[in-house]
Amino acid sequence: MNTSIEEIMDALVNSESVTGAILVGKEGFIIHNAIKTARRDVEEIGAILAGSTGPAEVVGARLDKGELRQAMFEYSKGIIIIVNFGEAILGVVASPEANLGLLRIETKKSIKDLIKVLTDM
Amino acid sequence: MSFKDKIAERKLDPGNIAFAAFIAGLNELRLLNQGAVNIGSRRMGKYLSEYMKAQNKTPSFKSSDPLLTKIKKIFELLNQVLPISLKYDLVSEEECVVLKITSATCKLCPKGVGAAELEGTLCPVPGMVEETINIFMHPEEVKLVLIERNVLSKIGDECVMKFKAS
Repeated sequence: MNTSIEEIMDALVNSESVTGAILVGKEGFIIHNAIKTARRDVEEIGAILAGSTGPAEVVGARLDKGELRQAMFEYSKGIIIIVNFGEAILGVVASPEANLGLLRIETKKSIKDLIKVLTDM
Repeated sequence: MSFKDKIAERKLDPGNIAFAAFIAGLNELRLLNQGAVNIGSRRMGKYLSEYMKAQNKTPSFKSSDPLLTKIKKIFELLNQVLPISLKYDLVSEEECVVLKITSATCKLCPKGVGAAELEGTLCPVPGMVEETINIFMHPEEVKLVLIERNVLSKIGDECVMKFKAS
């Protein structure tokens, strides 16, 4: 098992079809950025990513669907999976041809490891 | 405390109430987090600085002054132009300048003034102050320091934010 946030995120972005991942706190600040291409706006992306789950949480609560666990956005040039867990939110960026089942399994595995590391911090 | 007492204690004007209530209203849809508020509030700092310059209200300090002195002068003037808080303190701690605002005196608080119901924070002050400092201290720059994954920390009856030279 990977034992640091960096190792877990690096393993995730080395998965097939994954082009990047960002881990942010609930307040929208970056915990770790593993997007492969250098970006100047990563701070903004982190804040928006964390905020993007908020309205979906409200809709779920109003329709009595419980807590939001995961959301997936399909774009013309790729896929973003957002997982809301505990004190953090993980965004996984993948190419459009990604195997969704495999992507979800890899993401789920990373979440399990991240929860352990974040709990121990 | 009644809203009438709050108005008197914080010396609130309708602009304060409108702003804080607007942010609190957006919070009902969970559209914001502190990171997103920082993006917007940096813009507040940018345009308030422009306003201050247009009004010939610019802080006076020497480039050789310590960081604490510079930030004090900038914040004092900003707090005159846009009253933020009646009671605050600015101190040096290690490599940082720490701004401590007595929470019950803040005029912009979405929680205290706008009655936002949230666990975290939606404070416009850190981003606004950071940007204002950076505009008036240019080319020197400061950066907000994260305290437990946030730029704002509630310690006792104070809201605390830290700035570090970058």
